[in-house]
Amino acid sequence: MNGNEIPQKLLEYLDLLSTNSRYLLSFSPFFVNHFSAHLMSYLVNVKKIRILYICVGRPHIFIQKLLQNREVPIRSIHFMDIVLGVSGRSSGKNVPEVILTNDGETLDIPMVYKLYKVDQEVDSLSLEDVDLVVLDNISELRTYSNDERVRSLLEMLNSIWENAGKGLMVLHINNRPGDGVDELSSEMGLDIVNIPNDVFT
Amino acid sequence: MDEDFVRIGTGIPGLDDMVEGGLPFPSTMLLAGNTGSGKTTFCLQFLFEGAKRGEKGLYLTTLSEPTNWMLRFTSRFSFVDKDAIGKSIAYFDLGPYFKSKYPPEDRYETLKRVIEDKIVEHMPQRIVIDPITSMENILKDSYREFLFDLSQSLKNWQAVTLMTGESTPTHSYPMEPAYTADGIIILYHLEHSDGRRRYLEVLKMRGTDHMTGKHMVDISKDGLSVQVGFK
Repeated sequence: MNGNEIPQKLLEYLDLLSTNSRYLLSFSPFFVNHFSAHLMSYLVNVKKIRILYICVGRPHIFIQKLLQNREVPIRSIHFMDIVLGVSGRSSGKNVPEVILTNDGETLDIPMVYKLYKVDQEVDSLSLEDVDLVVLDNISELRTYSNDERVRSLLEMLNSIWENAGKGLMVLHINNRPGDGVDELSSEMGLDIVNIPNDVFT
Repeated sequence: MDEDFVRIGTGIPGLDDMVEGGLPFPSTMLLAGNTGSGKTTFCLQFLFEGAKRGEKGLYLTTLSEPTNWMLRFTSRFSFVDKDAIGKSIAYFDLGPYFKSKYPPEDRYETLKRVIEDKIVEHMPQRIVIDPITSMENILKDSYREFLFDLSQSLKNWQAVTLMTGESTPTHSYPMEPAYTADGIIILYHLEHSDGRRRYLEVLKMRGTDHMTGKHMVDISKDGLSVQVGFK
């Protein structure tokens, strides 16, 4: 198996996922890069769907480099960086806001963020151009925000994607057993999938 | 301490007990020490521990030492698993990028790009840069900026990085890398009346209630071990 192939055991988990459904995908902090890269490779190369990849905690260039190294075409991916917004930095008056629309209606998402397509910064995105949303990752949100704010943000995003009929995959680094993320996700109707470490080795 | 901290075991007996179970993950650590103090052995033991746990390691040398030459002196240690080399543990020589064919103004970006390319290729959880201090002569005025840039990048790549540096008679650790490191571990090889002895000190470790002071270190065929409490 070369480094770019999806491990067979992981593939068996990914094949069980429906791209129209909503999931919490939980895995070890030691395999963040591995899971992100393999998941995206699967969604883009195998399922051939269009992704909105929301990055929390680190800029999108890191996942972009991983994908490009693995020859995953990124032209079907929009990357959104929301590091600034959830880090507590306030938006200045001159910070451009990205417009997200669905069916011509502008969505009100109160956070500062940037949107990229390949290496270009773009200022708008219609959800009609997206099949699935990946949030990488909910655990990073807790570094910047209390549980109530995390819940609020997740509920808002979940509601938007559910109303738009889009699939949602929330990545969860399970570094803190009993952090309440499983319960919160279940309440919102997300299916929880725990990815064991041995699928990566 | 914050329950959200993930820690990674070092594979050095005694050391994990000094740092609440392991090094924060991700983080960058400065491992400083004078000649013969055990820095390279420490780094290899750290990487092979990762290999044992199913993790990937990346060893970046700046000394242009061939792999077989490095292994020749370390293969006697029981922690060395030769099957892991080239598979779980990748070894890469940064030395060629220090050569004069790369103009000084290009070396910063070249080094950063090469390091990142190797990380992207292998996706290691453990990285060693041995030694980091040799980059100072290459990068000169941009060395500090490079260290800051590299340190931020390494943490975003979700790994624990050990950067080694030589101690001097006047400084027990190199100052520049210390500014950006999340932790500083110092190995000493000190002269006593009856010969030399080795010690380890955790000088700094962010987010960790670590033990302080110098603790004796033993090096045997099983590698380094810290005799916690023996000073």
